[in-house]
Amino acid sequence: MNSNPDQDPDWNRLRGLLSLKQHEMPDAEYFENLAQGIQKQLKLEPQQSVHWMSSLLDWLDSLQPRTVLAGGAVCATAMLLALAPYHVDSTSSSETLPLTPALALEPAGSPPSAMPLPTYEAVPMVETVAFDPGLQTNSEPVSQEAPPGFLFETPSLNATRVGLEGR
Amino acid sequence: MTSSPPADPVDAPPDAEQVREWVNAAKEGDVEAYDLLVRLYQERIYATVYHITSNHEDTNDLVQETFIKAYQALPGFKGDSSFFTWLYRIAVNKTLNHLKQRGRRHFLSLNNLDERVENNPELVALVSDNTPRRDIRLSELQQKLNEALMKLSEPHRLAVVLHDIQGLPHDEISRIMKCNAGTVRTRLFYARQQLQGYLSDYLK
Repeated sequence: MNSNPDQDPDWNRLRGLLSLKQHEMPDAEYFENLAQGIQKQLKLEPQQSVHWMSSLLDWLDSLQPRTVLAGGAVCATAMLLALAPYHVDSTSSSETLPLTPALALEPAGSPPSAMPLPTYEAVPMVETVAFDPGLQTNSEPVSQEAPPGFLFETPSLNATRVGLEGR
Repeated sequence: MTSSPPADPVDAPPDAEQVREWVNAAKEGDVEAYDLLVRLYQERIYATVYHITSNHEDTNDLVQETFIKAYQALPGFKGDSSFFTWLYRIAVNKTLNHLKQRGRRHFLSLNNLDERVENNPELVALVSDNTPRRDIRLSELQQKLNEALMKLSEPHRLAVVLHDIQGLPHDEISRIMKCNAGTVRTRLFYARQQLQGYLSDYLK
């Protein structure tokens, strides 16, 4: 970066071009009318009419976006920390609900306030056997003859016929 | 207003003490005192907003809104910064918010160049026979310059407007833009580089 741009000829030419902007101003009559227009509006809108919400928005508007984001993050964290003790575990809450007695007290036809949970008998867990890599496969040759009543055996029609005749 | 009859701000620029008196009177609802502040700063506020937007109609609305908002917020002005800086900040924030709402839908509405332009030797040199584009007229040059400015990002444009056009010092700009003076210098450097690129045909 050139520390002294005044020595830069390109910058001097650009500065000359930018000076053109200073000649784009309206005339004095425009500014006279502008000042009068502002004064008229000020007399219609007194200073005391500032709403507190407008002041708050002005204050927020004056803050840097990073400050607003950081403030929002701090507020959100504080809210989460404040609500954390009230957090209820959904898996443990169902045990405390009075299900069946409440249903018994309700009159017929009224919608149930709480559905009873289905109960299941305890089923013993099937014992699992770890795979023993030392086990050998059956070395006996597989019989080529199909076992009786398996696959290609024709079904017994007598049983069906007897059943129809019984009706 | 309790102070002595003030001098016309256009004829004789008031000193800081005089401005402070007007501000204190305006804080208490003195519209006449505030009118003096409006007349003192309206051209500079107009120029800043206009050079950022390159649109006269938008500038007209934004300048009025700036002065009305500043008047309403004046009771909350604690004097941590100068009234001038505080007013500039309101104008710049309002203008940047306006540009955000407008998005990419912008068009130029430029004021006519005044007759003093013919007396500016730098500008006359720009359209003299020495330039490769001597056929270009000043109004076309004005159009190209404004288009180039609008291509800059808003922070870069603001730095150029406040420093290179308005002539504000770096530390004053840093207070208005709420950044440090080094950031202002960096933005100026990159903004000038970009402008030189956009306007290279007219700078050789």
